[in-house]
Amino acid sequence: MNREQVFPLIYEFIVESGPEGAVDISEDESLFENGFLDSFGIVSLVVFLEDTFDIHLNDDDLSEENLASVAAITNTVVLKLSREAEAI
Amino acid sequence: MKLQQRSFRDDDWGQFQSFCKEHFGPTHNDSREFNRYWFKTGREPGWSIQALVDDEDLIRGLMAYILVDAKFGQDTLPLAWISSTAVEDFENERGAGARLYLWIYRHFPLIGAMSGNENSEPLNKTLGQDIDGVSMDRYIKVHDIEGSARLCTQEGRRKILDFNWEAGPVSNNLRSNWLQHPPADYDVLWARFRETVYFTTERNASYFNWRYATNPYISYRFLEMRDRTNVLRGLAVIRPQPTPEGTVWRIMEFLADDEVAPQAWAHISQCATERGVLYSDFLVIGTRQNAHLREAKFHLANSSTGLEALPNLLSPVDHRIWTNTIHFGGKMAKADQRWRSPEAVYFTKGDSDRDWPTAFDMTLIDPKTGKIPVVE
Repeated sequence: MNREQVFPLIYEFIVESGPEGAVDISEDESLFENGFLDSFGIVSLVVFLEDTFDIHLNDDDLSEENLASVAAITNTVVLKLSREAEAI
Repeated sequence: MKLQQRSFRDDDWGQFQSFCKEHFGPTHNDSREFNRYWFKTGREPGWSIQALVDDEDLIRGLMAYILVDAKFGQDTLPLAWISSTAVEDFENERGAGARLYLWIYRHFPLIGAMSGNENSEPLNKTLGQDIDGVSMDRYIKVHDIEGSARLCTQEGRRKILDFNWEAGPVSNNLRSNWLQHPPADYDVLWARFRETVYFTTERNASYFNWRYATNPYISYRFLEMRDRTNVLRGLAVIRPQPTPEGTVWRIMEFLADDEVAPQAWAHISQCATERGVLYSDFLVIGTRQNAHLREAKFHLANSSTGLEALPNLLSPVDHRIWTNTIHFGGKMAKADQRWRSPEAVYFTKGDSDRDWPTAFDMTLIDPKTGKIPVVE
C-alpha cells in the first residue's frame, strides 16, 4: 500500500473517533494539542492500525512524534509497511 | 519531557508510598508487606509493577499487576491481572497511560481485568475481549432473614423480607472439617476439577497456600467435604466477615466433583445456618456452577431479584453497586478463542484484587497476630 491509499483510511478513523463535532482536521494538525488523542485514543488507534494494515507497532513506533498528526501517523505506517515487505 | 518505562525497583519504595497516597488513596494499601506479598511473588524476577519515570527518574505513572498461573486449554500459562494503575494527569494527556496498557497486553500470554472503572473500562474493552452475556455474578443465600434485612437500606429491606427464601435440599452424605490450609490430598480433587474448565487460575494447593493460608492480613478458612469413604469430594474457601448485625460468609472458592456439587452447596448452606451466619455469597465468572447453586437455593443478586440490596462491601457496610465487567486479553487469549464461552471459564472473588482489605479492615487488625480476627 502506498501513501495515497493509507492516508484516507487513517484520516477517516481519526475524524470519526475524535471529539464530537469535529468535522475537519488538517493533516499536520497536532492531535494531542487539539484533544484528538488521549490514552484511550492512542490504544484505539494502535489496534486500528495493526488490524487494518497487518503491521506490528513496537514501542519506538509509538513515540509522540510518530503519532503527532495524521501525516506523521501515515508516514509511520508507510515506513512500517515497506520495512516489513523488505523483511519478507 | 520524555517518559521512560521500566520495571519497579526496591529503591523506588520511597516514591511508591507517596505516589500511592496521592493517586490510589485508601484503595491500595501502601505497606511494604502487603505490596511484596502481591507484587513480588517470585513468579517473575523483581516486582510485578511497571513504572513510567521522567528525566530525573521520578515516578510519573505506575501499573501494578498480579501474576498467577492459569490453566488454559492443556497448558499452564502466566496470567497477569491488571490491578492499580495511575498516571499523573498532565502526562495522561499525552497518552502515557496507553503505553502501560499496550505493554501489558502485549507482554503476557494472558491478561485479566475485572470491574473496570470509567478510565480503565474503555481500554480493556479495546485491548481485550469479553464473553457475551458473562459478567461477575453474585449468588446469595440468606440464612437469617431478619438479621440480613437490617443490613440493608430502608428501601432494600422490604425486598429481603418479602423474598421467597427456601431452605433448599438437605445434605446427608458429606462430612466436613474446618482447616487453615488446604488438605493434604487437595491436589487430587483439583486435578479432577481443572479438567472441567478451559480457562481458570491454577487453583492447586501451592496457589491456595499462597493466596489464602499466608495472606498477610485477611483470615480465611478451608471447608473440606468428604464422602463416606473419606474421599475429598469438595472444598470451599470462606472468609467470615463481621458486620454490625452478625457474620456474613464470603465464599471465595468452591470446587467439587460435579455429581456432588449440589450436595456440597447444600452442605455449606447448612453449616452457615448452624453457625448463625446472616447470609453467604459467592462471586463467580462462568456459569458451570449456576444450576447447582440454584438447586441449593442460592439466588442471583441483581435488580430483578432485588437482592442487590444486600451490601457487597461489608467493611464498612457500603451499598454502592459495583461494576461487574470482565475482560481477558493477551497473545494466547487472542489466538485461541475457545475460552470465550460461559462454561469454559471459571474465576471467583479470590482472583485479581477483588478481596483486598479496606482501610477499615486494617483498623481491626489484632496486633498479636497481625491479622484481622476471624469469627469462628
